[in-house]
Amino acid sequence: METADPHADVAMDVEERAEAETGSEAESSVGDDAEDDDLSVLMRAWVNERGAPELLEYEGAALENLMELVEFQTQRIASQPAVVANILRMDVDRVKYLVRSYLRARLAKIERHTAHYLGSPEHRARLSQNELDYAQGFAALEERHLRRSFLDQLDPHLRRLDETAAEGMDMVPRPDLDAAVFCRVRATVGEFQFDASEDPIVMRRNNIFITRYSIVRSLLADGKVELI
Amino acid sequence: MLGDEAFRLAKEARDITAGHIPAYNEEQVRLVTQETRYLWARREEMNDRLRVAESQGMTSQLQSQALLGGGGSSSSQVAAKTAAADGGSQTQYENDNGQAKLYGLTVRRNKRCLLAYHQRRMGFVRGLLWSVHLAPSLVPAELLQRLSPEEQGFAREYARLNAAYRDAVEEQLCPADSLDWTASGELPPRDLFVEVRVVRDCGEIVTESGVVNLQPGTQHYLRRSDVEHLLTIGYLEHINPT
Repeated sequence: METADPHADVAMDVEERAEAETGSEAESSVGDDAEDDDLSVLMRAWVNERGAPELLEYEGAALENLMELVEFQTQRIASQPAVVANILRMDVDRVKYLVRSYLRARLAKIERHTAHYLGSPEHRARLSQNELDYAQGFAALEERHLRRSFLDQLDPHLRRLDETAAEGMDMVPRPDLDAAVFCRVRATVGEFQFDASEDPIVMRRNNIFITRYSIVRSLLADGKVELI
Repeated sequence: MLGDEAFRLAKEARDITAGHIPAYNEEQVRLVTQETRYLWARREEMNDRLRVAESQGMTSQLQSQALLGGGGSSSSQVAAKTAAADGGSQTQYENDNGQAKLYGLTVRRNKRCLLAYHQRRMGFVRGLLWSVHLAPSLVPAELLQRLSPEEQGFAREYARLNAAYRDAVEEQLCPADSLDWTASGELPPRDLFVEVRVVRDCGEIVTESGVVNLQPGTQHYLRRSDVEHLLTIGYLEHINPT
């Protein structure tokens, strides 16, 4: 990333989007430079993460690069005149906010469906090592609390927290993949089957849809749409 | 009535909001736990009786039905006809079977209610901790006394778990810096500096530009990240927030 001032990117990004929306249909594929730097990647990951009902892939590389940049910037601040230094500090604060908010949005999801994410290797793979440690610690903490509060007083057969009842009711809460999401198309997809019973709909760049998460899940994973 | 106690607990769980929590209802939890234990013991007894009855030569159809945990009522009618010859003991068998199932279901429902109640409360405690920057010692006394001793323990351990995660992340991402992990996550920072009035004595704090003495009633112009935690817990007051 060459821009020394990530904040400028934020503003630019917003303007560019506004332009893209009002302007004629630019149907180029994903990959404008402004959309691929670490800040943009993380901004998008952050919005996606906050919109999606389930945990998404961890953007470890973007996070690390961005924080390296922040460190570099912080070192530079000392040698700048006060006015510039303050602007740079503000900028650094905002990037930190983004990182914080992103990580916390993920933790919140992990806390809500701990057993679900720990339950299968596929879900585990989406967690960073730190998040995995956290999830395991949290699951243990929760179980300890429930045991102390009442589980230990029940019959040993009733103490499990992960059984499936005879009526097929699963004790592990899972994210609702059919939750409604708003998404914007980033790269023209073409005809897309939203619903098995309906005609395909053409998805063009910058179109906005509201739909069930499960339908656009794979498009989101491929980066073809973004949540808003 | 069967399940009433658990229902009461579930209702209490529903009444928990982000801003309000009723006191931990130890008595109700104890009642439900007790009922659950009793029902489970009775169910085991009846299941034992059923097994004895089965081994004494009920029809194979009945057996498989009992093992499967009973299907619809039509199949039990078929079973009843098949075993009609058995008369009295058959009625007893069906009674026990039905009771055992009912108790089994009630036990599971009770457990669900207990779990829901404690889960909701844990959710509240987590939210509460975040609002006081994950410092259990800053939880207001009037809220603290509504939590059970176990919940207070949970709060402390949760804060520790979170601190461990924060340290690991900061170690990895910014070894020399802090992420201001517990700063408000709702709004992005707008101003670098804030003008604050001291409401309660905070003593001296160290900022980048030196030591500041925060005496009650004085006003200061400080870096937001230096004093944000004091603002959230109400020791400082933000003048002219934008």
